[in-house]
Amino acid sequence: MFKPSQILTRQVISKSLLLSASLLLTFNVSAHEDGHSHEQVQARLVSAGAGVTELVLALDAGDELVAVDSTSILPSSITKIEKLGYHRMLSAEGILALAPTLVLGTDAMGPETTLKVLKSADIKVIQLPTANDRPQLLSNIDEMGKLLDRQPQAKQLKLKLQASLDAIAAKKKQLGGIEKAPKVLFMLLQADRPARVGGEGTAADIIIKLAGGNNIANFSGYKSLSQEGILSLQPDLILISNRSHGQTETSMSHADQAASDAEKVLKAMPLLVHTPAGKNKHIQSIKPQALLGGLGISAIKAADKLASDLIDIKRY
Amino acid sequence: MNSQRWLWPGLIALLVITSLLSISTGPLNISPSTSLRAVISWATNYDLANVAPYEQLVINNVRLPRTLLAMAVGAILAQCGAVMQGLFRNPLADPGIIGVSSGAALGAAICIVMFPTAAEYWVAFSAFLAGLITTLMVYRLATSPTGTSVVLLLLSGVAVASLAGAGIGVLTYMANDMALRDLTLWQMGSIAGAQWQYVILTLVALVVLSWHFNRSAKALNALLLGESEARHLGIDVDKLKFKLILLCALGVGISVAATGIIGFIGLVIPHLVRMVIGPDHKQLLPLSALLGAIILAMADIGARSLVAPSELPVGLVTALLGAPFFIFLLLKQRSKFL
Repeated sequence: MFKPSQILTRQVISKSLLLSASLLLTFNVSAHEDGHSHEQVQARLVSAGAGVTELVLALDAGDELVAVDSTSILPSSITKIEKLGYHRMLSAEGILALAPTLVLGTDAMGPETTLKVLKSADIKVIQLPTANDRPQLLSNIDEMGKLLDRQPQAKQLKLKLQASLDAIAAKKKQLGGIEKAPKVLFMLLQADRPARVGGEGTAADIIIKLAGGNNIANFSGYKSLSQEGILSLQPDLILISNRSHGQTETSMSHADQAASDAEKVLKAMPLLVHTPAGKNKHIQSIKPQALLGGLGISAIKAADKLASDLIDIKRY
Repeated sequence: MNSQRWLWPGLIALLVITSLLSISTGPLNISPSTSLRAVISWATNYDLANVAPYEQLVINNVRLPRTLLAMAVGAILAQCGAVMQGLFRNPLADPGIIGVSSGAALGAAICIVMFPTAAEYWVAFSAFLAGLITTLMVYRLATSPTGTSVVLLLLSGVAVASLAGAGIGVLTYMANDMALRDLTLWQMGSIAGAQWQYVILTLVALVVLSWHFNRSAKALNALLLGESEARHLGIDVDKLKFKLILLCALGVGISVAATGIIGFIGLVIPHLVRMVIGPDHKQLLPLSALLGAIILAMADIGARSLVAPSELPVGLVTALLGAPFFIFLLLKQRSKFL
């Protein structure tokens, strides 16, 4: 004879066993649906880091992407793609489950444990150094051309970027020296909070220096500045980045968009009208992509436009 | 009571089920039987058929360390929570109250923001060290020649925690975007980076702590009567307090170093157990450890399956589940507190 308590115990155990068995069954079924094969002909590419993804797209390898990290920005035409988390917090299993042939990222990609697991699963993991200057960018493109089997595209892209960089350098020369160059201020706008101004070492700073502008924020990193603080700096041109309208392209033309951006900023920060930039409506927006991946395609584009704008200002 | 008898076998069965689930769930589809075979071949070093190398790899390097780490950390946090609540005779005490978590967070923030190149390897150590230092500081503040006052200890804990919070605020202000992101993620706690050295460290800590806590269970029970009553029973209350606080600081410090900050386990789990078995620490401590291990492992299963192939920080999951549940408990037990 069992005591009641023993019967209860047995019941609990048998019930939990039943539960676990049924759970095991459901997982078994799902395991078979999604067969895992390593002999894929089509390359399956995972890209982590905004700059790297941008280059993948520029090299015409977008159709091979199976997943990107959360910093990467994709054109709306690419829809069926997995979003991994932040590129420093990648999940090993999440990536393994996608059966990639190549995982491409910057040296910021991580954590180390994840990369180790991927490598020991015979997945090619390549970390490219973050490009902050021209030689590094070009060598990264070379490397990616080889990895993605897109050498001709890489060659073309390099020529194109070198031409843009040369054009920017020429414009920079026209501006003549940092002292004579117009004063530029970069603001990262956040709703209802003081603007954060980009000082030395920020992505915006790289773009401003590349274009030959004088970044008047002489501190390092991003700092919050009040309208009064910005007013005291008297910038000739204000660059803004607005995270909210970053990823959706509006139907407005470029000039209209720029004008409306300027108006919005002046409406939100009326004191700025008293800066040279505000007076002359020299307020330009910059795409968030340009600020994410070090020196890359968007950053070069932004620098090129900035250089032209700076020349225009000097002619006044 | 009848319910107490099935608690042990029930929780052990649940622990087994949870570990089975944990090693067979993930973005990659590996059947439970394959997972189990992979675990056995890992443990016995014997090559069992039908386990693909990449499956073996995922089990060895991802799921097994994760499962064990989640369970060890869950058990440590829940047990330390139970000890703290007993020691302070305060149902709201959790391991964070003596400053370990906030100190550790400050340590991690210092490392992430000021020494970004060393961050990858030294965050854990820096967190552990700062957690321990903070606890000792709190303890010193609360100790006078006449003894250690519980109220003073709680208050110093609050004060030091807000000081550490301010320090983190300053560092957050100084941080660049990347460090900021790392800092935020670290504070949310995650078991994703489970490495074998942390697993071993936390398991050793768990064994040592459980043994010491178990030996202090009787004294903790006596302390429930009141401090002077415990003294009359021949217990060196101040020595006991120092020992237990130091042990909790070590346990929580190691856990936080390994996984970041994981809230609510230490606060909620002991309450749950106490509701069923009452306040006897002989039972409360090991059962809390068991339930803590189960709950954190389950939360981790959720963390990595809910948004796969990306994953949530497990600290978010425990807070999302723990806080509403705690409110529910409060409402149910309201009459007791009034």
